[in-house]
Amino acid sequence: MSGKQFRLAAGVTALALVAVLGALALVHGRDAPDWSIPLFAAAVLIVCELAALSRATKPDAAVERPAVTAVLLGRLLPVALLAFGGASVALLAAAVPVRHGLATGLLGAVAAAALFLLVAAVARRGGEA
Amino acid sequence: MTFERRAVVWFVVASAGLLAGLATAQPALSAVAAGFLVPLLYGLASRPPRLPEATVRLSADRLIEGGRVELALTLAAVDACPWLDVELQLADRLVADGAPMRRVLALDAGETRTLEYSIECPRWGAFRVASIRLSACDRLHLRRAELSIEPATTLRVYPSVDRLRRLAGPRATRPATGSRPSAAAGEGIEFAELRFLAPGERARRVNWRATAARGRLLVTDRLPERSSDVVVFLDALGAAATNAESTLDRAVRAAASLTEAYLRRRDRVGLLRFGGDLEWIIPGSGTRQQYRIADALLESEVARTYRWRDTALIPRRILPPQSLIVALTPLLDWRVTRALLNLRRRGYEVSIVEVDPLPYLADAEAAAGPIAWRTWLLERDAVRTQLAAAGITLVSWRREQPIAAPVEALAATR
Repeated sequence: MSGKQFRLAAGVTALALVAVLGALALVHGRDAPDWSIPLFAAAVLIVCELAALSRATKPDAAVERPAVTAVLLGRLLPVALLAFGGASVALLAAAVPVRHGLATGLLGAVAAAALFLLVAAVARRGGEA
Repeated sequence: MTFERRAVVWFVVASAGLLAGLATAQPALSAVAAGFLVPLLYGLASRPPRLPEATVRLSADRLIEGGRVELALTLAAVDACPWLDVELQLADRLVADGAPMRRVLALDAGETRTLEYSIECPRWGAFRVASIRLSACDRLHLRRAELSIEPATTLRVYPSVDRLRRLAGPRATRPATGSRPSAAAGEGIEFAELRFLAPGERARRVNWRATAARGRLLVTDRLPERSSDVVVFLDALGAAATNAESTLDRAVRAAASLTEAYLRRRDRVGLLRFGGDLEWIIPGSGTRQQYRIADALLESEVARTYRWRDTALIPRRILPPQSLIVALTPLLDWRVTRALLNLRRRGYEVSIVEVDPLPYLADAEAAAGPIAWRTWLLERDAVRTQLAAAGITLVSWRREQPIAAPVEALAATR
């Protein structure tokens, strides 16, 4: 696949996704359910990634098929899953009824640190694999 | 290793979203921000990109112009490299054939891959073939590692050589064996004349057939084969050029052809390059000298300089007495004309092959206007007249002609 084709494909896909998101926003407006927020976050990340791909690849380059597969499976899919997961966790955390105070703050900080360590461990393992 | 701009953008978006979510008490904003934050953390915590080990191999480091050289780039990945951008940047005078100059690959850990490029060398020169730029990204393309590789090998593309049958030779020869009949009679193969036997001469030189016909003792005089000294004068001070070719390109090819032809006749040949720096090669003979001159010719570039150039700078042993100087010049710089006139006044035989610059100056004619153009042409005619008056032989070498044409014309004038 040539770089020009790759850029075109990424750009067109990004535009199509933006169009779909725009249409959904128009149809549902402010009535969008909460469960759609993680999906929305994942979609926004994918659009950003596709836009970055379409800009970063040089038109005169020859992009080999394994590289395209690696981008789809190793970059777009993890980003989408991580964004979905992160947004879901954030929504769930927001939904938990808590009383504001020092203990809650410390608990939140510990939870954030634990989340970071978890993500780092997963990333390390993924890199070694 | 550098961070991609996306990493910064994601961090800013995530921070702004979290702050906005807290400020407005909107969990949706914080959730979207977390959607940016988590991939960012994942990407930064993952293993940084590691470039594969790259080795470059050329199939040849010396070839004749018009030839082809194969470049093999071997990439050995220690770690997985999901996005490796390989860019081959060729030197100006080289043309790649077939394979794309830029490729995006994915290498698994431990994988070795060889990329092959076929490179055409249409013009002479000595240069680094290519610089290779490698750029690898981590899994989420948040960090980038880059490396530029310059192969240490210098590719030498020698100018093509035309076979020359007839050459202009100097009138004087040196007392060393060669292929050129000497002006003075002696022991040799070439017949010179018949003359009467002088007292004390050896009887084996008597030409008995002529003696029988004339009734008196006659001896045959022969011309010994001697060699001579030739210095090729290359004007690199100025050149007329188009995108495809320049007068210097042709002059260098002509210099290579002349050198090869004179050396084949066992003459001693030297080189004097009159450019930004005055450079020379002392006259010598043999194959080694041919390569020495060819290597020196490869370094020829047009050097525009306003420094004064004088032939007084040339050491005496560069220009042996009675040597023939064959100048290859487009006659575009008055300093070259002056130098050639000086050499002639010092007693050297000077012949000029004028590399016709007019086909390269089509745009200049339109830019300068007809009056200025005609004035310039008249000035060139005046220079030619001045050179001819000084006893310098000058022949013009047109673009469509082979080098043999002006060289034979030079030989015919002598």
